[in-house]
Amino acid sequence: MSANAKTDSPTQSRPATKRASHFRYDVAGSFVDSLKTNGVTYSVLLPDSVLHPINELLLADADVQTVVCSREDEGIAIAVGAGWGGRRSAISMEGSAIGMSGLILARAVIQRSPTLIIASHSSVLGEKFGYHAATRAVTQPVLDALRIPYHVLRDPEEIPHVIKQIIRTMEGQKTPVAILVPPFILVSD
Amino acid sequence: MKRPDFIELFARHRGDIPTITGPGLMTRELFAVTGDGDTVLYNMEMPYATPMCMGLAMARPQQRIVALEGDGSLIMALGVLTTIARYHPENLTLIVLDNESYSTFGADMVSATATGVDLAAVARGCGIEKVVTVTTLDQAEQVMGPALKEPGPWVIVAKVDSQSEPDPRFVRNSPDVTEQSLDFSRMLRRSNGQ
Repeated sequence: MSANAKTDSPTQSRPATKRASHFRYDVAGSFVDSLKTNGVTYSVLLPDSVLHPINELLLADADVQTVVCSREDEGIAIAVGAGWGGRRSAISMEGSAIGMSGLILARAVIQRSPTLIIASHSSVLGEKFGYHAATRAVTQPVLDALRIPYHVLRDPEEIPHVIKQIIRTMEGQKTPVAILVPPFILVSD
Repeated sequence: MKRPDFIELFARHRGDIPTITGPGLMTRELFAVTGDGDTVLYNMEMPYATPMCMGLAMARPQQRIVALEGDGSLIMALGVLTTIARYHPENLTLIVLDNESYSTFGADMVSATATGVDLAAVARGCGIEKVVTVTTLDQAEQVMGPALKEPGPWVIVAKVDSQSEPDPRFVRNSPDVTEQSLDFSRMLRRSNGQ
């Protein structure tokens, strides 16, 4: 490649950007630690206003190979491919990802690809912005339609247990499984 | 260049390299040439063959991985070229059969490449450097070996005829998607990244 070409390395940690004070990095840290404890070594993400602290920590963590994709359905396909390559993978995106990804999620279900989906902006309590209305409307209905198991996170204390059980479910049943993260889990009032 | 001839050439060079194909007549022709083995996963939904291969390639850096797409499939997912350029998986080879049409539905159903869109230029513009357009079998023969062995990522745009009539070697394949996917998955586990 030419000397001036720029590539991103998903295998090296990078310094965290300046942290916004309204995010709960302690909770995000617990989330990422639980992913790692349960064998997640590959993640794909597209930036999101609720999941930002998780995404930041994933990008800064040398133990998790993290790819920033161009759109969410592409990201799910990348994660599924990494799963076929032997990596336990997770995707971190806002709920619009679910709406955008009906076909690739259906494919993942049919071909029995275990993949962990971390999604925000669903129709759970605490969402307050009108511009997320379409995103909120699409998340759970698509998961329901495809019979993809999901759990709505309600308490930061439950993160280690929930992630352990989600990994057990997705590997045991060979299916994508989603964890829906309300804003109050990661964003201070 | 006739599409089935290019497919035959690719199959001869491919060996057992894990390959995921998009949908379309090329898939049926590759099936006719390669058969019902477990190293090719046929008929991935548009436009997911390439991103799935990218994830697989990143997880298996020692193993060559090939995505075989049509121009219509790639047009549907141009963003993945930016992701490939960004993370530069050297073991990924993307082969695009560009017949300038959605030929399953007839040659008159042209795609954007028939009106001047240059997929090789798009790939280069995204930052992928090993991009080659081939218009003849001789050119394809020269590039296929390096593109399946040497560090990439590679993008080969093969300009082929818009041939929508069934080829004599044509076999209509309809393998079960779940069964074929599990076979492909087991093959990958057995190959252990080599």
